[in-house]
Amino acid sequence: MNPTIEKAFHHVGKWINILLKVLVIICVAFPFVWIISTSFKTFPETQIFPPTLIPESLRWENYANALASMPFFKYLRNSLFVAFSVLVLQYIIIIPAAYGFARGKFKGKGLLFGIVLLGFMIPQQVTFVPIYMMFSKMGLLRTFIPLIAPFMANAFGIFLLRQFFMQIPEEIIEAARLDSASSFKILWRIMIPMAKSSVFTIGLLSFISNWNSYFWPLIMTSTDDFRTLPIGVSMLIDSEGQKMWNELMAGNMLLIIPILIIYLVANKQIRKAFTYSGIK
Amino acid sequence: MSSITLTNVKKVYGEDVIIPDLNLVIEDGSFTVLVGPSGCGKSTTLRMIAGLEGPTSGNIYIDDQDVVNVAPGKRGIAMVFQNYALYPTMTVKQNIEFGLVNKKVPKAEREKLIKEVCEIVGLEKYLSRKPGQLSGGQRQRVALARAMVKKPKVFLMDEPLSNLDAKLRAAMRVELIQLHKRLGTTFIYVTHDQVEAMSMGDNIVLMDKGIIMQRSSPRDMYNDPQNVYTAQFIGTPPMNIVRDLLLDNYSIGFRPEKITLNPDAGEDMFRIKGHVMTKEHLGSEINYSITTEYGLVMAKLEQEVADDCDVMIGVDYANLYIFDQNDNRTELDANIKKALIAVSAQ
Amino acid sequence: MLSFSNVGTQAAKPRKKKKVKQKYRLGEQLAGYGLVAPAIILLCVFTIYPMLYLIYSSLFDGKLISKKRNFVGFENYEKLLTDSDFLRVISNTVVYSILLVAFTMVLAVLVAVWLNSKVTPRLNSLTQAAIFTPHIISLVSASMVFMWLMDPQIGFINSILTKLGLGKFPFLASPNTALISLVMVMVWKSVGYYSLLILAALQNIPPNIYEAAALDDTPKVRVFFRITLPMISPTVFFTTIVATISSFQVFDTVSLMTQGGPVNSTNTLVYYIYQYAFKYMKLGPAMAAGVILLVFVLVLTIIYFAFLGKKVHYQ
Repeated sequence: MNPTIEKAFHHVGKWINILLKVLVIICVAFPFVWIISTSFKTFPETQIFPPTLIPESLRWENYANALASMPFFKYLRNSLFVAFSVLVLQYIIIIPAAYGFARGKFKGKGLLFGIVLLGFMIPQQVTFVPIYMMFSKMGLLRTFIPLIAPFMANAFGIFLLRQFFMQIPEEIIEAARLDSASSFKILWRIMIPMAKSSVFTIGLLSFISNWNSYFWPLIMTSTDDFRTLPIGVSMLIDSEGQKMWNELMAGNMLLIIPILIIYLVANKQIRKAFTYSGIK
Repeated sequence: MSSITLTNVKKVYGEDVIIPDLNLVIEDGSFTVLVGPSGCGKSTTLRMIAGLEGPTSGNIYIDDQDVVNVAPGKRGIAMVFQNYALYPTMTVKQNIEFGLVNKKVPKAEREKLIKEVCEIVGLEKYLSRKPGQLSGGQRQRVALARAMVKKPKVFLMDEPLSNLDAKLRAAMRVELIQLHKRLGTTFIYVTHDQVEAMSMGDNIVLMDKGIIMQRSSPRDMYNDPQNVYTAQFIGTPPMNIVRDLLLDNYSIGFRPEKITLNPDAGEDMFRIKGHVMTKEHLGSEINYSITTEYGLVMAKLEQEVADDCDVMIGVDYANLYIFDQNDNRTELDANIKKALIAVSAQ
Repeated sequence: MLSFSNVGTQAAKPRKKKKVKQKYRLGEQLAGYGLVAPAIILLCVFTIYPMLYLIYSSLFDGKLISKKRNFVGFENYEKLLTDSDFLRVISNTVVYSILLVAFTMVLAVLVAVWLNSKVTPRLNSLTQAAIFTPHIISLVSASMVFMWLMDPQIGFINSILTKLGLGKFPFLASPNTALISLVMVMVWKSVGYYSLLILAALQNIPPNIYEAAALDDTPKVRVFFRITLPMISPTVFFTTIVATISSFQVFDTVSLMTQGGPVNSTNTLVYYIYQYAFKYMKLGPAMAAGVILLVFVLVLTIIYFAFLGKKVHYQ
C-alpha cells in the first residue's frame, strides 16, 4: 500500500476511534444529563413530546418542593449516621479479626476462617427474612441496630485485610517484638500504617454501599425516624398519582450529588477500590 | 555483656527434628559465628536465643538467668535481620527510636542515644527519610543502629550482609569487626558463607542437621578439622577426600592448595598418578581438576602444567588428614604411614 | 590409634525430659481467639444462624408474626415446584440472569480491550471514568431515571425512536418487554464495573508476550484470539460467576420499577420471597424459596472455588 494512503487510513481510523469513544461517553452520561435537565423543568414542560433537552428556565423550586415533600434532613441524618457508624464500628471488628487470621496461631483457625468465607458468600438476600424475624423478636426493629449490626463483621474487609497482613514479612513483626512492642502496638503502629490503602479501600466501599443501599433499609425500617435517604427518595414516587418527574429528578439529584462529588475528587482511588472488590 | 548457655536444647517442628540435642556455651564478648548449610538449624538456634521461637525442650540461659519463658523484648538482646525488617511506614529516626519508646526511655536520653549511634554508623543526614528512600547499605546501617541503640547484652545477626552486593559486603564485614571491637559485646552471627564465617568470627560453630560438627577458632577450623564434614565445608575448593585407599574404610584428605604437581623424585611425599582434565585460571592461582584411579582430585596452585597431560600428585605427609570409618579425624600413626607408603605411587 | 573427640557424635548425657511450657504460647492462643471472636460471633448471628434457621423453618408452615407453627416437611417445596406462578418466577430469574450476564460480559470484554489500546490514552481514561460512574450511584436513582427515559408515551428514548421512524417501544408497560428493560438498566449500571475488572487483567499481561507476537508478525485478530483472550479468560470466567450470583439476587429494580408486573413478567426470586414474607405474611413459601436461592448461590460458589483451585494448580 502507498505509505501516504496508509497514513491517511491510520488518521481516519484514529478519528473514528475518538468519535466512538465520545459517543459512548455521551450515551452513558445521558441519564445523568436527563436527571439534571428534568430537575429544572416545569411540570407541563416534562409532558411535552418530543421532550426538550434544555429547560426554558431553571426552576429551583422543584428542589424546594422535593425537600418539602419528605423529611429530607431527617433522612439525610439517618443515612449519614448509619453509613458512618458502620464505617467506624466495622474497623473495630475487622482489623483485629484480620490480624488474628493472618498472624495468630490457634486451633481451629481454618474452621473459623471458613465461617468468614461463608459470610462472604451468603448474600443478605438469602437470609433477610430470618434476620428480620430475629430483630423483631428482640424488639429492635425500631432502632438503628438492624441497619448497622449486620454490616459490622464485613467479611470482605476481613478477607482483604488478612490478605494484606499475610504479605507483611514476619521479620518486621519479630523485630517489633524484640523492640518490646505489645501486640496492640504492633498492630497499631506497624501493621495498620502499612495496610493504610486497604483500610481506606474497605471504608470507601462500605460507605458507598451503605449510602446507596435500598433493599436492606426497605425491609428493616417502617418509620421515618429510621428511614434512610434512598428510601425517602423512592417514596416520592408513590406519594402522588401522576408522576411529577421534575420533582422526582430533583429529589434524586440530592441523593446522587454527594456520591458524584466524592467520585469527582477521588475517581482513581474509587475505581482502584472497586477493582480490589472484584478480585476475590 | 553476657554469656549464653544452651543445654539439651531440642527443637521439633511437627514430625521434623530440627535440633536433636544441642549443648553450646557462647562466651561473653566473643564474636561467634554459626555457620552451616541451609536447614542446618543455625537460624533456629539464633531465633531460640532471641525468643522468637521456644525450644521443644531444654534450657537457654543468658548469663545465669533461664530465659525460656522471658519475652523476646525483655532478654536484653538485639537482632539484625537478613532483610533488615525496617518498619516501612516510619522514618529512620522513628525506626531507631521505636524500641526505646516502648521501653519508656525519657525523650532527652533517647535523643542522646540516637545521636550517638547515628554518628557511629553515619546516618545523621538521613534521619527523616523513610526506609524506601534509602540504598541497601543505608538500610543495613539503620538496622544496625536500631540494634545498637538499645545497648543490648547480645547482638544477634541473621545473615545480615547477604542482601548487599559483593563490594559493599566486604566493606561491611570490616565495619562489623570494628564495631565488635569497639562495643566489646557478645556477637552471634549466622551465615551460610564459610568465607564470611572464617573472616569475621573469633569462634566458629559449624552445624549440620542440628548437630554441632566442630567448634573452634577459624585457624583450627582450617588446620585441624575434626571430621570429614568440617574438612570439606571449610576451604574452596573443598578438601580432597580419597576413600577406600587404606584398610578398614579409612579415608585420607588433603587440601587442594597443599598439593605439589610432579614433585622431585627424592622428596618424602605421598603420591598419586593422575591426568589433568581442566584448568581454570583464577589470576594468581590455577584450579586443576585431575582424574585419578581414586576419583577426581582438585588442586589449587601457582605452578603451571600443560593441559591434558599425565601428572604425579604429591602431598607432604604432614599435610595429610586421616579419617576413620565414622569420618572422624584420627592420627597419622606409624602403622597408617606404613600403609600409605605402600599404596603411594612411584 | 587416637580418636579425636567429636562434638558431632555426642555422648548421651543424662537428660531430664522436661516439657517446657511456654506461658506466652498459651497467651498467644488466647489472644488469637480474642482477636477473631467479635467478628466470628457477629458472623454466626447474622449469617450462620439465619441460614440454618431458614433451612429449618422452610419445613414449617406459619405466619411472620404469629407463633403458631406446624411441621409440614417438604410440603412447602412441593407446593412451590407445582405452582405455575413460582415456576414463572424461576424462569424470569434465569432468563434475566442469562441475558444480563451475557450482555454485560460481552460488552465489558469489548470495552476493556478497546480501552486498553494505546491510541488515545487520555480519552481512554476519561471514557473509563465515565462508564464506571453508573456503578456508584444508588439503584433508586438509576431505576427512576430509566422509568422516566423509558416512559412509553413521553419518554426520551421513544422520542428518539419515533424520530428515527421506528415507532414506540412499550418498555415496562408490556409483559413482553419489561424484563429486557430491567436488563438494560443493569447493563448500563454494571458494564463499567466489569470492564474495569477485565481491564485490570489485561494490564497484567506481560507486554513482552505482545512484543514476541509482533516479532512473529502475528495479525491483530489472531493476537486477540490466541493471546489476549486466553490470558484474560480466568478473570472473565470468575467475574462471570460473580455476576451470575449477583444477578440472581435482583430486587431493587423490580421493586422500584415494576413491582413484579406487568402480569408477573418481572417477578423474580428475591422479590417473590419479599412479597410472601412481608405482603402475604406466608412464611413457608418464603423460606422454601429462600432455600432454593441459597442452593443456587452455593452451587455457583462451589463451581467458583473448584475452578479457583484448578487455576492455582496450573501456575
